[in-house]
Amino acid sequence: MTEVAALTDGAVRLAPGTLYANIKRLLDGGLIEESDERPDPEGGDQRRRYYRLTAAGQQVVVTEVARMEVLVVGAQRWIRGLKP
Amino acid sequence: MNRHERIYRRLLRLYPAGFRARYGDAMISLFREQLRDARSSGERRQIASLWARCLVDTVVTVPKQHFEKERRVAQVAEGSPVALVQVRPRSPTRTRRVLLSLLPVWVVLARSIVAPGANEPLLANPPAWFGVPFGFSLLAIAFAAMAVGTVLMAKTTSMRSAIYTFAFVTAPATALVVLAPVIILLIIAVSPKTGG
Repeated sequence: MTEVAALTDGAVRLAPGTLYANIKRLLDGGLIEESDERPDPEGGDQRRRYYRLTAAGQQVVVTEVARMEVLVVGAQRWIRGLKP
Repeated sequence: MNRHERIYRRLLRLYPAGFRARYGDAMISLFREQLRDARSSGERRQIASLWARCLVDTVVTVPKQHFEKERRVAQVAEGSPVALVQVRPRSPTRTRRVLLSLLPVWVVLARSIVAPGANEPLLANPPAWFGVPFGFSLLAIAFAAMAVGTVLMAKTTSMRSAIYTFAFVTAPATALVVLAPVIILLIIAVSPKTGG
């Protein structure tokens, strides 16, 4: 969550229900999987769960970012056309 | 466990048991972390903002988890720049939604069975509207709203619009049916006595 906040300059703050509902969907879709690896095996909250992208999840991220990039570039071109 | 966490734990009870069993502890852990961050900022506004976010989050996600069994099929089209992440929310079946939209009818039927006397004020003649007992008018309004809700529920394919229909049409219609006898008794109580 800290990473999400940092990546988005604090603009995205996910509440627990939204986060875990989405995690459930991604798990059901096979895009992420639960990981046994813990960054800090001794410390940290033992109730916390960790997830990692599956191969399919990584492929979806890459292609989805590429798709958004195309849209953003198109939108930027359109905005430039608006300027006098 | 502090007061905030205790309240959040209670809120979590609204989620389906399966979801709670799977993610409840992790959700509490995340809430605790967010609460700690909000407190460390030293601003009470941050705590209020966290609670506002969590309340909205609960209102939005709890019904979804109860009624929606999502099936997400991820298909990556090979060689295509488009990733197809197909979301197929399996919203409650139409029958279930329609039955839910008929809640005012179930309330009247249940009241007739459990406490028949509670329906009597609906037949009270004074005050009457256009010669029709006032209770009938209230029921007519409630059932008309209910009918609109039933049509919307039958037509919608989106979970969100089903929730909105319930919240803004079915629930008020049900409230009117529930309160109709009370409203009539109040009107009778405050209306000036005539005749004698």
